[in-house]
Amino acid sequence: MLLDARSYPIQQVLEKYLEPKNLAFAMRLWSTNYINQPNISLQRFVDDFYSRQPISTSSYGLYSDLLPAMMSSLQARSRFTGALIDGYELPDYDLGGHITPPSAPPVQVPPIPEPQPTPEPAAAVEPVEVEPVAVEPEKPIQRPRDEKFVIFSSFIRQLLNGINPDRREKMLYRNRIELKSTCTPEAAEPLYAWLQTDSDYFQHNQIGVNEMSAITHVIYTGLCEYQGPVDADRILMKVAGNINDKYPFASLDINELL
Amino acid sequence: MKYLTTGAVFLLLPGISAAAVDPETQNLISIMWLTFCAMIVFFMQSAFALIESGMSRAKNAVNVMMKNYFDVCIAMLMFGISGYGIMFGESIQGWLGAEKFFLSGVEGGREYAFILFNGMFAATAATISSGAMAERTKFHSYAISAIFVSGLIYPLYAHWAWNPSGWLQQLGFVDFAGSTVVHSVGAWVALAGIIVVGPRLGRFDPDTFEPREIRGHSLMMVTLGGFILWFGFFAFNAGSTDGLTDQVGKIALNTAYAGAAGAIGVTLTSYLRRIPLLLTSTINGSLAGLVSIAAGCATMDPPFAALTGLIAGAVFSFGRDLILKMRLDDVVDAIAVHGISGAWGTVAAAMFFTADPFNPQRIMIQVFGIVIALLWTLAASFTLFSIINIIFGLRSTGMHEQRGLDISEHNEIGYPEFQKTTFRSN
Repeated sequence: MLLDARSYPIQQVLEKYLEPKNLAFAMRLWSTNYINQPNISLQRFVDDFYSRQPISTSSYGLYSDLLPAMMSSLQARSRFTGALIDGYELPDYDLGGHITPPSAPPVQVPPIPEPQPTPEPAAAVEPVEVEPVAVEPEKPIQRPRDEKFVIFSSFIRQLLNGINPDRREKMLYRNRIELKSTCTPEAAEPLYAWLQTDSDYFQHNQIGVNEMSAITHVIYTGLCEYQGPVDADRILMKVAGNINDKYPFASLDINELL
Repeated sequence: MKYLTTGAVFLLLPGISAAAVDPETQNLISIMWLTFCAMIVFFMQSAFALIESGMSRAKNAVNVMMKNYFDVCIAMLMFGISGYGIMFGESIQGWLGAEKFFLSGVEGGREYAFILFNGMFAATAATISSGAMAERTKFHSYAISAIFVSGLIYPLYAHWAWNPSGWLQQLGFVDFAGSTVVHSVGAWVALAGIIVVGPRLGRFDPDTFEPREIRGHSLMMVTLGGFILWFGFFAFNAGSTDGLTDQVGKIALNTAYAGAAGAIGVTLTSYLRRIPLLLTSTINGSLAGLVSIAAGCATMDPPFAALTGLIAGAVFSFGRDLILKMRLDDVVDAIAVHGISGAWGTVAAAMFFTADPFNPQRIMIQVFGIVIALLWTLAASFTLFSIINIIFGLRSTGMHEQRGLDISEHNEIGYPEFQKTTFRSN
């Protein structure tokens, strides 16, 4: 019973979002890769089954449902093993990661009609008291994660992890002009800010594959300078291999960035 | 029948004195000797290709081979077009040859062999820079530089030093087979090239400025290249007699001794300096010995040839460190091997000159010739590379350097079955 309790809450949530085939895959991932880990990253788990399956639904909304389910699962595991819960990682998504809302599509404004002359004056109408309606504040639009950016961010983050934090900071500072010149000024600052964090995810609607490639190139050059070309090549190959293994059916081929 | 006679004479040479051979046969023997030596010197190009490619990373192996193959083609043609005329044409005040361009006015078969032999020297001078500048230089920019090195920069200095009317020759400058004229000139071109093109990505730590080792991909290729170069040096030095003479044996022996002593010299120096003795250093030490003996191989006795080579090994060891301290990235240590050791060999040719050893005036002339070579070549090639850099761009982009020049410049890789790569060939 306790064994089931480690997976059941997760399954219950996922049933609402996934088709049976995809659900089976996700549960298999959960039970093989995640269930026994001391630290579980919810974000990685969701990324994992989203990237490996052609799932049409959005991942948005999953996090808020999965979070309590995961806590229940961890408590069940704790009761079963007797070990304390070591912790879990909250996704950047919930922590207000650097996600730029999508730009609004251009709206066609209808032409203002010409004022029509009123033949007769309107009859006086008695004012009617209208009860004020409570308007709910509009929720900020949060777009679903774009697979391209999941792959790109993960790739860049892993590359940056190949160098120790002090030197990474120096490297980013030294290459800041090149980095910022890879994309539009609107995207440059958020990009540079993201690179200085430890976050795994970055998205900006003004960054396309060409910009991603240019950013990768600058990061690699910096890696060569600070880590040496031999190590830089080794890191690049390893990270590219990791990404290819993790996202085999992804819409963004990592080779496009190299 | 004439050729049969020549062949027979060639085989039976030990028993035949020069006086016993009629001038026509002697001429044929000289043509055969020069042509044969030119072919062996040509074979040295394969050794340069092996050494330079082996010392580069696998992702640049094809590019290095391609440069080596191509600069021979360019150098041979350019030497015929302008090089030979500048080098051996009628001299204008000892400064510049002004005839025999496009091989006009060439007399007879022997001169053709002479052109071939000297064309190979031009190719050698041109190819030295390819190794030093490997792994980050654009192919077409390098090819353009090879045109000017083999067609102008090398032949002009060679005119001063080797043309009978050349002003350095008139001063008494001695460089029998080109320690300075060929090797140092090639190395100074390389020096200018690496200054303009800059070091490879990450060769020096940006904070500590310490050099990082970037190992080549095949020491077997380097070793085989070392053996072939040594073999080629016999023809390089002995062919400079311009015909088959009784000096050939001594020259070949001096060459062998200097090469062997060079390897021992670098070994002893490494031992005394408590630095690791590398295979590449040993081979380069032996090449430094071979380069150093070129200047004096005909004018010094074998013990001094060995001493010259021994010191050249040590000179190479310190020279290599000097280049690194200057934060210059020479992939194959060409400047230490060909430039610095070549300069030492040119001084040694005066110091150990058999007929008149340790003559200060002769030594000063040699030093003067070395300085002139450095100034002319460095200035001319620095200007050349700077212009190429402005017009065409000398350095390949960081992205190309990252992918390797094989795939980015030639769309083929050296080891398609073994090279682990995720890169596409698009």
